Amino acid sequence: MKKIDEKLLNKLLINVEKPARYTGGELNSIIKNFDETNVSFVFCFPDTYEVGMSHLGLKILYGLINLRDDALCERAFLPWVDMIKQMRENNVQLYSLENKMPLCNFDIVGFTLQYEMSYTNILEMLDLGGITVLSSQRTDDEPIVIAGGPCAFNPEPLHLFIDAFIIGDGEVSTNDVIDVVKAGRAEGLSRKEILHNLAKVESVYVPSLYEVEYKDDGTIERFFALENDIPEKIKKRVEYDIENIYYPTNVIVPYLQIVHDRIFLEIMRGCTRGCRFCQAGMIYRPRREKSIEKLKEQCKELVKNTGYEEVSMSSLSSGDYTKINELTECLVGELKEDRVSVSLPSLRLDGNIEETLSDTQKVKKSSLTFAPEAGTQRLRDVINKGVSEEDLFRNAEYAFQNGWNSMKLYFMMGLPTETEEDINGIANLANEVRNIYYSVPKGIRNKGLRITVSVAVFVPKPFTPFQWCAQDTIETVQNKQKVLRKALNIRGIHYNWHESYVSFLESCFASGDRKLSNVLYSAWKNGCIFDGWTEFFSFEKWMKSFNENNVSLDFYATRKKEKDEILPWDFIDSGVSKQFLYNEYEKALNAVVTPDCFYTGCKACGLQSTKGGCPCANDSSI
Amino acid sequence: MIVVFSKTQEVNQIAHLDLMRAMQRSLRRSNLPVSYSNGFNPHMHLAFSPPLSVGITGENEMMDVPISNQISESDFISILNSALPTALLAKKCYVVDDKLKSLMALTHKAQYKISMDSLTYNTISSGITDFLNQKEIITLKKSKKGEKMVDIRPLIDEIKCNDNEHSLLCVISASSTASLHINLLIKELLNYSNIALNGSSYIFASRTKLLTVQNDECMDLEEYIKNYNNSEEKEF
Repeated sequence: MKKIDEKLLNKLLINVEKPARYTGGELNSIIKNFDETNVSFVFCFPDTYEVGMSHLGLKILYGLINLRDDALCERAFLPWVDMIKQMRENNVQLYSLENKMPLCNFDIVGFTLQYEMSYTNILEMLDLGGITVLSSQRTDDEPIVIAGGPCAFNPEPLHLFIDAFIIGDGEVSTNDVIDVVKAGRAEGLSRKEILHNLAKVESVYVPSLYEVEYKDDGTIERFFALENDIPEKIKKRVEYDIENIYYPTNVIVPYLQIVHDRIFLEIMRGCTRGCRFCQAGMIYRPRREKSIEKLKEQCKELVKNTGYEEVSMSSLSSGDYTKINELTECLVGELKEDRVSVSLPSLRLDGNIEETLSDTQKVKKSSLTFAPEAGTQRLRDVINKGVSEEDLFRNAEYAFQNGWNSMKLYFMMGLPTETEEDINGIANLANEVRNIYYSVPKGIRNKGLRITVSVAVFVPKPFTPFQWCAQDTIETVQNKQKVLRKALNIRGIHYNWHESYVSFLESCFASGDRKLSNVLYSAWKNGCIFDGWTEFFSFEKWMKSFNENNVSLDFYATRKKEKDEILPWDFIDSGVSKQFLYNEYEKALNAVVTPDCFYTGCKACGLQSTKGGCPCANDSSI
Repeated sequence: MIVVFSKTQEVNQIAHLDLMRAMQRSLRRSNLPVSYSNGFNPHMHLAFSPPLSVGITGENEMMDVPISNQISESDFISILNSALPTALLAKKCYVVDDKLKSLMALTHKAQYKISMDSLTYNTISSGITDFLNQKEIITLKKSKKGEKMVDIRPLIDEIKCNDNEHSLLCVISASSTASLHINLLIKELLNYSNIALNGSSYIFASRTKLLTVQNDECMDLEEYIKNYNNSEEKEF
């Protein structure tokens, strides 16, 4: 097996930006010997080094797999376009950073599916790495290509390229997959046989062993397994014991500046708030917390092993951690001597943030982020985001009185039942926050107000109560963005909007079925790459790809789905029942709120039947 | 504390800012008594000798680490090395007081070793005397402000050939007022001998020593710093 020649590599690197993306050798990177391990795994993040190195999933699996004596795990990222050009011109295949080994020489190539606009990057990485892009054409000596992550909950648009998908928590399931591949290779099994064995592992979906039939109207007639010893429905994997499960404390410290250049401390997994647009809130259930003691221990280890100056407490809604104030106090106290600051990335407005904030900001002050998501109380009730104007204003006032002058407000547009009044509501809220700033006396408030209002286009996601919704058409979105641009053109307020064409495509792939796979292949062949980057995204190329395959974008994005329609992801059991989701959808249309079940009692979302009792129940509340 | 360290081939692609960050984090991990600045945002202020460009390794680079407590030089080096990534090596350190000028101000010249394949070496070395005999060497210098034509001959002190190792040892200006980028010199050497690098030919540079000019005498910066502590000129 040939590694990439270092001298040749150095020559290529002279001509590219940020060559450190391609050299590895970072502190805590693990370089093992291929000849001394049975299974080689390469974790591929389908975007640049700077984006991928921030990914927690990479850190977890890298550390976890490398703990095994019989396996090794290395990393690969998509090179930037200048390096891709150099590599193709010089016949240098995409390689792993540790041993500089081309991807095609690994036993398992694993991708993480974080967002739909990274899909063309996956195809590019496969091709650059010397791996046959279409699964059906791969030979026995080629790697098994797997994928996991949030988008694996609708795997169908990638079914032509990925051999096996892992649904849900990856800690134990990835090791299970490695065991099956190890045994298969040792026995000299064919690719087909190994895949069949993988399909028998809980939470693993092998698309080539399932078939889909369509009705005349384009919706699904039926979805079925081609073998009778594999499950008809794929159950997602849940690691209930996150207190004792592996957590990486010896993470790689990059030389290059990466997107989130700090320590990530996962404090909680799952969320019970039940916001109806949020896929993560549904697919990561049940809610599980780590103890303060454990977090203190992991935090200390991380600081000792990395030398980072900032720790980020990370989860879907950190403000919901039961003893958040105590935890913050504990960590700030522990880290003060080391001069490490603590930050909370996502805050819920309706909590009592005052105490939390003053602690985390004791060492350093940074910007505050709030996500009201909708401009009026009515619409917030529809989406079940239970925060009030009062909460926002109270917290804004506190923040401005205590030295913060920078605030980020996140909203969405195109939500179901949205009216003009709701759009204007966004501008009203931003203005009111601005007024609050100016109401704080000059001596007390900090100079240089900067309110950033970020309004994304709502994309209906699978496994949410809004999975039946249609997205706003591009024209509607652009009109609403025009209205907001005018209304938010005020000093101190900065309006961020998302490219509507990108959101439109995101919607197609989020709700897509197998037909999208052909479109994706054409798009990649037509040169689509780095679709998540504005300088590269080309709607024209995508339209061409849809047309070449006779697939309609509107069928997926702007069509309202029927209640009894078979959705492309129905064969996956996310723990939350379809019936529960539909009930929530109906409640939404009537603006009826469903309060947080952790505090108000089990709402029977479906998880209670998997564990034989509600796994999130907080005994003290009911 | 002035620390002499080497930036090896393994990390030659990282930029100066990346190197600074890596040093800061290593010092934090080491728990060495580094002093921080005062104020609301205390930070570690590290001062370096002139930055090494991406692609160039350095054998005897220097950085100035402000320390808050006394510590022996040997302890400092061994503790720092255990915290550094393997690609960076702390070689020696010297305790100095505040009176010493900054490393940027003290560095006037630098010695580089340019290594290449035998074919390229033979061509270049045979033309070295003529190359140096030129009255001026005009080249295009690109900077953030734009491009301009400059004469780099006065910035080249000497170039010695090493036939055994197929390398050149050069001394060029490296001060804040006048400095020559080693890649520019390499470009001109290749141009002069009409060489285009291809196939198995290669050329790369390593900064071997930093030099200072004191009382019209050019000397090794490390030697100067070593003797600084023993000099009679120092005041208490």
